[in-house]
Amino acid sequence: MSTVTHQAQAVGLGNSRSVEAASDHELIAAIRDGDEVAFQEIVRRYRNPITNFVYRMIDDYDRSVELAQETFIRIFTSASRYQANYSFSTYIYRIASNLAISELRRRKRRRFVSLFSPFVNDDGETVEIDPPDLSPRIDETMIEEERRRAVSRAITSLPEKYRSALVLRDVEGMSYDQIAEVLSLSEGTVKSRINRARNLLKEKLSAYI
Amino acid sequence: MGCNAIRKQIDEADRPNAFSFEVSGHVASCEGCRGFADERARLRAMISSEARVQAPAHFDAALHARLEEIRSRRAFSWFAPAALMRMSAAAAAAVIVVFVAQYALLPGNPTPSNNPPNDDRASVNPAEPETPVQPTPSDEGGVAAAPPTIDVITRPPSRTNRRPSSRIDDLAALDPHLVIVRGERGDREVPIFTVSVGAQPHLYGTSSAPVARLAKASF
Repeated sequence: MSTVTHQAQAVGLGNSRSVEAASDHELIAAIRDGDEVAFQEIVRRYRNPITNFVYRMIDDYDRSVELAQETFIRIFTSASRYQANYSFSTYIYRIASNLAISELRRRKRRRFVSLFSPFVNDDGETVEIDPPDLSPRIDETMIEEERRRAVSRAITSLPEKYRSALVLRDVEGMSYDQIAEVLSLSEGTVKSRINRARNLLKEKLSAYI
Repeated sequence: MGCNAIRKQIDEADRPNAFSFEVSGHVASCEGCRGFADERARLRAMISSEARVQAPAHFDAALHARLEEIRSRRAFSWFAPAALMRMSAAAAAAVIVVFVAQYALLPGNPTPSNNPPNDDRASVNPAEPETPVQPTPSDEGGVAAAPPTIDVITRPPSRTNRRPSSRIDDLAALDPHLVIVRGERGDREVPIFTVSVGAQPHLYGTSSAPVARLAKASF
């Protein structure tokens, strides 16, 4: 999709402003009136963050793209029910988070077990064992790549309730109150879960820290 | 402030190593908390340094295709099983509404005390189709001394020789029923069309009224 530079008249936002300058709430109001240009602008703004967020949650790129698209479909089809009580980013991340968690639970029901996860922790969550390769490496790039894979696997191995909070905080850079709104939790619960998630990651990545 | 509270603030800081004056002072003097702050900073840097994935180039086209598919599916949604169930439920609701409306709109529903002939009287016995029905004294509006001069019976016009059947079977016929008004000037047959669904009128006549009137309705 090319960059949207249509005049705001197309989305009913006034003649002097472009779609790019419109706020998320204004775009949603235009989408509610059936304006597809406004919808394209919303997609342009959020397709990469949402895809990245879902990917960090489920660690499956193809599926994360599908779920990101599903997120936008729900935005479009339920625009009339959107209420601007929270910021739009909170709203769209909540939809994406719910889809990602549903996907994780669906996979759990189907008992997707990777070769790295023969163990289960106290919460009944699958724990992936990813021992670091401590043998000497020559190629720094390979070392960096291995470290990244280890971090990615460590995040994926976290219980979903810790994972979503940690990804929103440390990957997406959201504030605690935003995360609390996205996950429909209290701020104290969010802080507690992020602290717990970091402690778990510290144990998993002790060889790299 | 103790070390636990300090570490809690370190962990909840918006940015690594961006602490309040009090926390910074404590970290400078406490080796354990300094190590914790460094460890948290490295961990957060490691997580945030993860390469961000991008949406594929065909993302918008695929999204547009999925939206079009949903729209086309909605255009034929009336043929979906759920839609058929909704239509069936609507039809059933319409039948119920007609049923209730027919009962409610039948004219002249009397009070229970003025009920004329009981159900047996209004029912049609094919074996004795011409048996007159004697209204009870309550049929005359509570005047027990006034003998009725008009008798009303109902029967299907061409069913007198059929096997005995229930009244519902007879009233459910679509052909017109006859109301025989037996008065001083002889009998008169009045055809009454009945409907097979809903309330069925029970008719009776009195000496004061020259026409048959609705006594009650049954189902």
